[in-house]
Amino acid sequence: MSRASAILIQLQQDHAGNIYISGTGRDRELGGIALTFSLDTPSLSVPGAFQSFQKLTDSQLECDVILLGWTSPGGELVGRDVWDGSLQASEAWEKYPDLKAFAGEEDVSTFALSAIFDVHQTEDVGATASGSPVLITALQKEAPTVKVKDSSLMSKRAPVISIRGRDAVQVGTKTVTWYSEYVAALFGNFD
Amino acid sequence: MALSTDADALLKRLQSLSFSSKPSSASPLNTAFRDSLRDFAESHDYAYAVRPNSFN
Repeated sequence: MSRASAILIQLQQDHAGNIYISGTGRDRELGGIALTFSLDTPSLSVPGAFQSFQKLTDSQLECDVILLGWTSPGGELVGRDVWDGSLQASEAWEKYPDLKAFAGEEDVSTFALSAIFDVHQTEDVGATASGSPVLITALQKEAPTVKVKDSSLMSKRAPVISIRGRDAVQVGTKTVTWYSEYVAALFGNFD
Repeated sequence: MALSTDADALLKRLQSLSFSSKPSSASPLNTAFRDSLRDFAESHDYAYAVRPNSFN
């Protein structure tokens, strides 16, 4: 089997208008790891997400790596809120009628994620991070010098982390790689 | 691994669209950016740019 036939770039949308561009991992049963940015408002996370995606899909991890664009009309992360369950799709469609165009797409509940990364490359030396304890622990194993800040960043469906700074892509890709192996080992124990 | 020329150009275009394509007054959605993302995902050029030998 050639490598080309093993690695696919797959495009999907959900009924909140979120866009998922997935680089397939070795174990399709595991939830993907998302690199996120805003779709409808200027997003400084676009370069970090794309550069991380490129590095990680080339490595083909255990988990899918997903470029995930959140629907964000008027700067409001409606797509993330619907995915997270804190907002009903019907409420989003009522508030932003243009989103009804996506009503025929798959329900957000079918898109399971193992983790959500916001990789934001800036000119600041080094990197800082904030987010869910399990991902902060993963990050500290791979990049122990990164400064960790307190954060209320959270999601009901998956651990979340934000990484900022000049080294954000390097730190982010290392952390995603470690966490992908961790998730694979975790679920491997149930097999 | 450094970005290839094609992928670098593509990233710059997407980044530019993210900032410069303002949603119209008729829609709060950035359709130009969304369309470019779909093109990006469906583009064979991207696959070649990322993995030059993938299709050998």
